[in-house]
Amino acid sequence: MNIAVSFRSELLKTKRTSIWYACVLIALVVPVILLLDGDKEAISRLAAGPWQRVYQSGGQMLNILLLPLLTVLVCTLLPQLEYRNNTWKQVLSSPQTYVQLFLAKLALPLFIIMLFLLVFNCVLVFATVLLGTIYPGIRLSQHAFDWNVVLRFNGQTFAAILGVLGFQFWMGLRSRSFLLPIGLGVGLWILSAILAFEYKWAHADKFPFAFPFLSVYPKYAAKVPMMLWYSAGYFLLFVVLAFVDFRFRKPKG
Amino acid sequence: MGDIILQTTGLCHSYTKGTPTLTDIDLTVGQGQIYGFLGPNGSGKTTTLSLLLGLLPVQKGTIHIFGHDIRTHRVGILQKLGSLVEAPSLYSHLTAKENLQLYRNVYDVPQSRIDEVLKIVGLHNVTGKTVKRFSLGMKQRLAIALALLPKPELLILDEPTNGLDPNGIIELRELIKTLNREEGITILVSSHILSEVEKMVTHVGIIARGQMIFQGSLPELQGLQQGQSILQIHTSNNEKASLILANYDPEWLPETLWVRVQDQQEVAAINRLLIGNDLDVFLLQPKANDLEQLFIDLTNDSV
Repeated sequence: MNIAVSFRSELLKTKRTSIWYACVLIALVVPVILLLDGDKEAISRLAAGPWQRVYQSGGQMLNILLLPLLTVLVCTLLPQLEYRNNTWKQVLSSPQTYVQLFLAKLALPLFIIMLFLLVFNCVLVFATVLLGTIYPGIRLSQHAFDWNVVLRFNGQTFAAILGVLGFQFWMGLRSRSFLLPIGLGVGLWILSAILAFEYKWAHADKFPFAFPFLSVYPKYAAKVPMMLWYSAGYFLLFVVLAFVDFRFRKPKG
Repeated sequence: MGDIILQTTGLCHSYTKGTPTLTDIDLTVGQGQIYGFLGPNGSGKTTTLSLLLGLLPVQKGTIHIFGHDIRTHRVGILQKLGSLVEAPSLYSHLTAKENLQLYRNVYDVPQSRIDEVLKIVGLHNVTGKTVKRFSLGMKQRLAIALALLPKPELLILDEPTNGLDPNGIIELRELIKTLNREEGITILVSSHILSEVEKMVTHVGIIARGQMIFQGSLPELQGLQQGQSILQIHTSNNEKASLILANYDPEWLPETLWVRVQDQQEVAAINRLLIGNDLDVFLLQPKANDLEQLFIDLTNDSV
C-alpha cells in the first residue's frame, strides 16, 4: 500500500466534477482577453517582446485574481466530495493509514494547480501564436520562445500560492460547510489587498494571501524571494496544523 | 462457539467527560455467526461499531479483531473487514463500477472482483447510470457490494435496512444469509428492530443505555422469553382463584389476575386447578410475548 494508490483513488473521485470545468474555464480567461484586446496600441506593445509581454500581463491577472480564487475553490470543493456524499466514515474505515490518506488528499489540490498552470501555459502560448498569425506586425518568428521567462513565471506563481493553498486545504478539510471556507478565503484575499494598497501596511509582505499579487507588483520585486520562502513556510505550518486537526478531531461527516 | 473473530472487553466511551455513552461492553462474535447487535435508538450501537472500525479512539477497554488489537493493527484488520456504517456512503456523481473502482486498489483486489460483487448484489446490469439516479434500495445494495469488495472475513453492517421497503428488507435478509452460508462470512448486523433481524441471526447482543444487557444465541434469548410469559386469568370468583393460585404469586389487574408461567403445560395445569375448584374460567390468555415484546421489556427494564 502506498500513497500513489490512495492518490489514484482521490483523483478518481473528481471525475465529472465541476473542479475540472472551473480549471479549464479559468485557464481560458487570460488568453481570451489577450485575443480580444487587439487594438493597435496593444499590438505594438506585444511587438516589443511578445513572450515577455504576454507572461507579464497574463501573469498579473493570474496572480492577482484568478489563481487565488481557483485555489480557494479547489481546496473547498475537494473535501466537499466527502462531506456531501457522507463518505468520510467509509474512507476512514478503509485500510489506509491516516498519513497516507492525508498526503493523498494534500497531493490532489497541488496536482490540480500544477495541471492548471500547464493548461494555462499551453493556452497562452496558443493564443500568442494565433495573435502572431492574425497580426504579422508582431513578428513573432523573430522572437525566440523564452524558456527562462516561462519557467521562472511558473515556479514563482506556484510557490507564491502555496501559503494560500495550505490554509485553504486546512479550512476545507475541517469545514462541513461549503460557504465558510469560500467566504474565509475570499475575505482574506480582499483583506490582504486592502492592507497592502489601501492602508499600505508595512507587513503586508508577510501575509500569505498577499504573496501572489505582491509577487507580480513591481514595487515588491526585491522582496519576492523572501515572500516565496514565507509562502513555503506558511504552507508547511498550515499542513502540519491540518494533519493534527484531521487526525485528532472527532469523526467527520 | 468456533474461533472468536471479534471480542471487546470492558469497552467504555464518552463523548463528553462524565457522561458515558458506553459502559463495559463485552461483545464476542464467533466465526461463522450472524450476530444481531440490537438496541433502541441512542443506545450506543453506532458508537460501538465506530470503535470497532477504528473511527473513534479506544478510551478504555480493548478490541481484538482476528486476534489483533485495533489500536496497533488497524490497517491490517480493515484489510479483511467490510463495513456499511449508517447511510450508504457512495459518491453520487460516479457510477456503481466507479464507486467500487475507487476502493479496488486500496483493498488490492483484482478488477474481476468488481463484477463479482455487483453480481452478488444484483447490480451487474446497471451500467452508465450515476448513483444519484439510484433508488435507496439500489444504493443500499451497492453499499453492500462495496463492503464485500475486499472478500471480507467479517462484515459489519450498521442498520442496513434503514429506509428500505418490506421487499427490500426481505431481499437484504436473504442476501445476508446467503453470504454467511455460501461465502462463510461472519456478519455483525445492528438494528433497533428485533423482528427485522430475528429471522436471520444466530446470535444476539442487546444493548441499552450503553450497557450490554444480553448476549447469547437465539435459543438462549427464546429461553429467556419463556421464563417471562404472563398468563391473564378471569374467573367467576377471582378472589378465590387468587387463593388457589397462591403458589404462582398472582397479581391483580382490574377485573383480572395475572401469573408468570414457564410453558404451555403450566397453563393447562392452572386451568385444571381452577375447574377442579368449581370455578368458571372466562379468560385464560397468555400475554402475547414474542421476541419483540421481550426485547422491549429488556430494554425498558434497563432504563
